[in-house]
Amino acid sequence: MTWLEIIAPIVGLLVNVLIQTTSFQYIRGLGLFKSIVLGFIAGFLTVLILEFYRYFDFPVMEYEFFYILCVNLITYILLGYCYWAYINLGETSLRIRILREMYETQKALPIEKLFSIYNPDNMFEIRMSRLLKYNQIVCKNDRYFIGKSILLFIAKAIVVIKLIIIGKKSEFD
Amino acid sequence: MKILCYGIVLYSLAFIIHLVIWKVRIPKNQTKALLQIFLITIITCFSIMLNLPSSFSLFGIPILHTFSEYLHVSIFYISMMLAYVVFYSAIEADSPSLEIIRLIDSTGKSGAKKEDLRKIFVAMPFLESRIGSLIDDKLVCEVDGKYLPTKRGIILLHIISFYRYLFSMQKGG
Repeated sequence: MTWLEIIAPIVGLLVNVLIQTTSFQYIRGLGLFKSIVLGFIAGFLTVLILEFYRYFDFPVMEYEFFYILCVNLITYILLGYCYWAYINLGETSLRIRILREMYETQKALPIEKLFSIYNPDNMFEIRMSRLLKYNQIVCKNDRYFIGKSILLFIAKAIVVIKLIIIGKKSEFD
Repeated sequence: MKILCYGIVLYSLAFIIHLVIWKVRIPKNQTKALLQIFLITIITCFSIMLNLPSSFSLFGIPILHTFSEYLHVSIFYISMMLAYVVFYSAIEADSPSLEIIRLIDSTGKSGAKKEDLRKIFVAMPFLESRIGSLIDDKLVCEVDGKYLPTKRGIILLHIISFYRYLFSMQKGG
């Protein structure tokens, strides 16, 4: 076993971060999502190139090469997922936004103040607008229906996983 | 083959231990408990493996021998552990957007009225739940009915916000 095949997913992740951050910073109009995809693809290709380079440089049995390639690609994809979650955490996590609000105001906040900032009505409106914008829901004659089925599939899958792991459908059950 | 098998076997073992513990009692600080379970499992298993005879095999697959094999399995295992911990946040706490999707789906072909959705959504205590989990994780403390971030909370916020500060991103919804 060579060091190259051990560190390949970590090198892939570093390339991912480097390409994502520089492309987001310097390519005009690219946007966050496209820069994340670009970084991910660059890192993925890096892992593949390193794996094939090592295979031709230090040949092993083909099946052994295949298993190591699987391990390293899975490792890279999972690390890439963690990086994507890290980028999105400050953006989408309600917990982090509440924490930031408390920190930025530099004083202790009563629950009433937090309610005025994170008003449930506002939260509802923001989410409805976002779901409509991305066609996840559609409005016909003042009634709302499921649009694209991807989020519904994710919601159903998460309910099944919740039932298996925590034994209930919702944290509020 | 060895790396893939041992990585999956160790991860599966930790996952089963996690499921058994969760069936008995769900820990207060779930993320910390998950990390402890996964780390204790790999450390214990590696300690056992190091003391086994080198001729030992698991399901016909020889035991790990070299430092590089242990390191490779560790990287594979840690990437799976981190990805699961990130994914677990979606299991632990309900997503407001996915809850809206579920509510709309539950109305079937008749669709949902916005006001009906709003009434149910507003009744869901998302804010209280997030503040509760911030307190459980010792990221926020309550003083005289007001909330303050702790030192740990501020450190976490700086780590997560680093990316945002780097690119001066806007606040999420």
